[in-house]
Amino acid sequence: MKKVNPIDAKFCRFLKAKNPFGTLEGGDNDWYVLEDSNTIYWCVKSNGAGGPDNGPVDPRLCISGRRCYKQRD
Amino acid sequence: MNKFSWYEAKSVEDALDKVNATASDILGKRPNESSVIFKAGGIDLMDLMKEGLVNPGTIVNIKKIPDLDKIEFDEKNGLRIGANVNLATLEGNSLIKDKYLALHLAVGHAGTPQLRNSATLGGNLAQRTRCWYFRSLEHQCFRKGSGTCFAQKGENEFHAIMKNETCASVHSSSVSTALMAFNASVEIATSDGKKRKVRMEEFFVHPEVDSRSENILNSNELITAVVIPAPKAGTKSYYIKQGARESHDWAMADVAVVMEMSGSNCSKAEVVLGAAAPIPIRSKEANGVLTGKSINETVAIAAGEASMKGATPLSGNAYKVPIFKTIVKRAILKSV
Amino acid sequence: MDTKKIKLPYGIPGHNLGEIERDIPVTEPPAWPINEKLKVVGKPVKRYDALAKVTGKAKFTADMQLSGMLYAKFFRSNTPKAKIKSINTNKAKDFPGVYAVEVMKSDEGELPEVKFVGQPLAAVAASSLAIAEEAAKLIEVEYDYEDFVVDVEEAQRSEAPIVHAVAISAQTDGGDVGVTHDGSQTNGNIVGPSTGSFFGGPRGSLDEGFKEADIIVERVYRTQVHTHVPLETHGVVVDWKPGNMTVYASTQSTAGVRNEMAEYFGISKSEVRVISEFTGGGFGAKHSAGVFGPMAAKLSKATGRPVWLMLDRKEEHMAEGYRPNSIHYLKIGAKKNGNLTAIQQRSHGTAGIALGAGVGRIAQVLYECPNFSTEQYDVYTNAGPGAAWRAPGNAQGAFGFEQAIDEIAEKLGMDPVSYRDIIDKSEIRKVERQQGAEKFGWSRRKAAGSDSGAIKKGFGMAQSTWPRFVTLDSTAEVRLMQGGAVEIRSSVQDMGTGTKTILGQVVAEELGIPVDYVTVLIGDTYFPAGPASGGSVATGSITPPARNAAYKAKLELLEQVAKKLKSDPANLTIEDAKIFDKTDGSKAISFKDALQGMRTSQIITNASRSDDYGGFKQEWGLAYGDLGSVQFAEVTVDTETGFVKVDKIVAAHSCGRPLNIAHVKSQINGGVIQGLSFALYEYRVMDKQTGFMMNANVDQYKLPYSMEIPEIESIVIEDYSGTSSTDAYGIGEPANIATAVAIANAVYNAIGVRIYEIPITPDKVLKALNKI
Repeated sequence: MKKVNPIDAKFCRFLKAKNPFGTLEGGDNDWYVLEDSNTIYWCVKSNGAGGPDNGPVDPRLCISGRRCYKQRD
Repeated sequence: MNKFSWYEAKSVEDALDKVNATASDILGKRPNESSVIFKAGGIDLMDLMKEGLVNPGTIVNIKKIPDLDKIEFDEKNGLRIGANVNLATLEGNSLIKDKYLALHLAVGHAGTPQLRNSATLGGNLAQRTRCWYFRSLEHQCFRKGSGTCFAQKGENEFHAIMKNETCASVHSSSVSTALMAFNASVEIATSDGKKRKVRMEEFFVHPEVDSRSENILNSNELITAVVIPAPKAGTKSYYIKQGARESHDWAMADVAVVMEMSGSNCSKAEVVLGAAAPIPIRSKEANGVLTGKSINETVAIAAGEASMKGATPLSGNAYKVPIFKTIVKRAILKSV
Repeated sequence: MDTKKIKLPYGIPGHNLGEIERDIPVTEPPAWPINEKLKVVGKPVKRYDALAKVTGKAKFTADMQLSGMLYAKFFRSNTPKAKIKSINTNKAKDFPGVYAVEVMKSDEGELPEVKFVGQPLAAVAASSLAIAEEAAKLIEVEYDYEDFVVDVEEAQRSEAPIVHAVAISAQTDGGDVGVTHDGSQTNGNIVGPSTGSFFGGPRGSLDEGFKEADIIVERVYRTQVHTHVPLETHGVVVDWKPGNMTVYASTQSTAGVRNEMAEYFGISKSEVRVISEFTGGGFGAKHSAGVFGPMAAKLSKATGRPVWLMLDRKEEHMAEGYRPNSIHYLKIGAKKNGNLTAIQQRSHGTAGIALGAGVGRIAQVLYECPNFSTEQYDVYTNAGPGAAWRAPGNAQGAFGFEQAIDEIAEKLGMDPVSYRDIIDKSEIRKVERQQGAEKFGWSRRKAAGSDSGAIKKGFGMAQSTWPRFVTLDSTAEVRLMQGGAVEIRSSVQDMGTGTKTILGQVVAEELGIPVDYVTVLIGDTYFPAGPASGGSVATGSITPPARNAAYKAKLELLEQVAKKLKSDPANLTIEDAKIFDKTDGSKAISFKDALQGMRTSQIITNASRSDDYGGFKQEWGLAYGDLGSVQFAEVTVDTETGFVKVDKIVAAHSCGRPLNIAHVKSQINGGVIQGLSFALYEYRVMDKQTGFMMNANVDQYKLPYSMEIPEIESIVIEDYSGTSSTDAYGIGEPANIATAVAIANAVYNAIGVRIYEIPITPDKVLKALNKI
């Protein structure tokens, strides 16, 4: 089981996650992308579970190289 | 909800003069400023309007028409309940509780105390089905005048298990179940100043007869009262409603039993099933089992079994059959 | 950091209470004794906002009325799957009273593909809600309709329509995402499996484990889609003035909403202020800015006016989340002595167009078992996205797992409670079982199905666990002011659980003053960052910094007072709002006078959540220990009609140090009611022919009302672990996990036949009894 901090990872800046156990680091920090079957993901840019390119929002797919991918600052 | 005007009817004649449509007439149609319909308690109408199913131009409020809110009884003419009597008043009426127990129980299980304070008897009879396809603006279903009953192949757990080939909706008035068992009639005023009285069986319209209307009311007609014959000596009755919840729910199954008894012997029986078919239905089969019999558990079970003869449940509502058998049996045993 | 050694209460009073010595930072306050020795904490202090809420004075987001405010309404899809050929908003724009219409599209102008009924496609802002609704109906869309699937089992077939059929394409400048999801390279709508969890991956060998087993239980359990139905729907009011966007939000995370709004519009977080004074429930679904947040902001920007955008009940049902369903396969092996030898778990569930439909970690962690593996699959369907729902996955997982454990107990000829005494290593659940069984009258339970007659009584129980998570980036500020005011401030919100009140209690306890001296100002991102109200982390995260900030403020105040009283500050203490010298009682001053005499008009201190005491900080803030619960259910089953009625629930819980016993019990009541509704009443009805949710209201969607709610007795057991300055944890999620399965076990005890699927409607009972 991996914990992945989106800030460290290759994820798109607009990928968001709500894992079952709260925000863990909380406050101002992004929620971790847990490879857990109860983690819910959404795209901030498209406001939903489908990305701006109409593909699914999934941490395996919301990565560098996807058409709608945007790098973190 | 679209914009509409409001008119306070001063009399039955005044109301009939103004109104030009029934809710069924304008069902599913775009807002039309010239359409004028009745409102009594408003419980069902507000729902239909909220869902965009009915978009009247003007609402005629009949709730303040004088003299439609009386309950009268004499041994000769029986019970006359004005159309505007609200269900809470009916529920609290001790004469009804004494002489028409099944009606008392049916009214007391309709809606919530808050709803019963507003809902009128006339409105209760004239309400439309809660079938979820009917209530969805997006589903052009049989009861809205199109050819498809979505419930036949769709989600039908709360739907009809009898006489359901064309449309599987069930009528939502559980008060009617009891009224039919007491052989009530509906008194209707027409715009030519006349009145007519129809039995409950004639009041409700099966979808095979008219797909769009659930009752015989025309736009120039208004329910003014419900009349129930005085019960013969030895009349016993009971009513059971089974909903998904006890607190407040529509009937999954409900039954009213009225029996004329001499001693333990039943000389005449009326078993009426609600939420079994698109309209409340009399179970001739159950009546036949009971008539002339001494009422005991064996007879009650047989009547319950008989009441479900010819049932044609759909994919999701076969469970209603044993529920009906049970509540018919229990209502019979409870009434004696 | 300098540390000091202190002794803290440790264990369960009346059972094994003792003390533990821990090395903690010198800046931490002294240990609190157990609750019976405290004045304010632990007591059933009345809610700060009770009066405001019952009188309607409390202004929820939906109640906001700002000058010049417009009302917005979404236009939503009425088909489950389609490409949009065109969307025409001209008629809506021209409708009198309409100020702006915004269409959902990407920055590049691409229209979204429709993937569920109720998907938002555009929104209208108008001078009234009625006008916005009317105008939204005038929007015209030309669809290119496509095949769809809403059923979780049909969606798994190889020939099923693919929900996310768009191939993921690479950026024009190259790069490779490696995967497409057009059905050709993956398993159609099936995603997964997820084989690990937060607590590790598979362990041991299933083959070995099952070989060792004397008995094996192998079953498939099913749970339904369960919507959240918070009394207040999702929504916001956004007032976007140049350089400053104010968002009034019904949310579980003010900070999360603020961050998303800033990110969406590419503006600084400082330009966004999120305020949530009252939130009418969330249950896990209100963690983001949603689609309504950015939409309201766009409409506000376009019109220069504040925009109100709250959803109605139908929209809430169709588009704002639910607890995903589950088809949960379990195979469990046990030895004759009861020990578990292997647990195999496989699940499929749907969160609609989103992910997250697993069954949680109950099977993995509740009891010791050397051999374990899980495969949890998501199945895409054309339905709105699921959302976190009060203990995500766990209520679904527990429904199967704790029934299977019950079945094993029966096969072993053991009582369910006694069997758990053998396999459960948790000390807190042991105490909960003992006390719960006694209060419930567990000894009344007879053999399954042994009641005579058509109406049968049944008794069942079940257990659960929830981790003690905390959020370390949780900060509180305390202000003491001349004039007597005491304030606590944090961005943490109160979604109805009582967070405001417990913060007031903690500060009052630390300062030795009555609760009504303390003003609680929370739910505003202009205050220091607090945690989200999710994962049951809020209490354990924000109360220690609240206490620590109050402690710091107290030290500063006593320092000043000591000079005046000519005392050593170490000798000063505050009790009943009076500051006095413990060595000389004549040296005293009232708390309010002391505040009046402060050197400056305010003392302002803040503190952040420290790591757990004693080196128990786990990776990612995971705290030590867990929150066990045991629930008991008494039911009546009418075997002729199939109706189940819950007569009584006894719920035994722990949440570390309970801060307000009335609030804890109130949350247990809520969890139990939602749990029994999961067991018996609520389910989403999707029409397979048209893809619509047919019961998207609160009439045909069967919430329990007063008559459905049984007698609920709760037992709250103090369980001290000495891990923070308050040693308190949450109760929200633990309260909801065990109820449904306890009821299912009770139904089995009543009728002697197991029901493997919820909700347990008459249909299922009658089928189980072969009456249909």
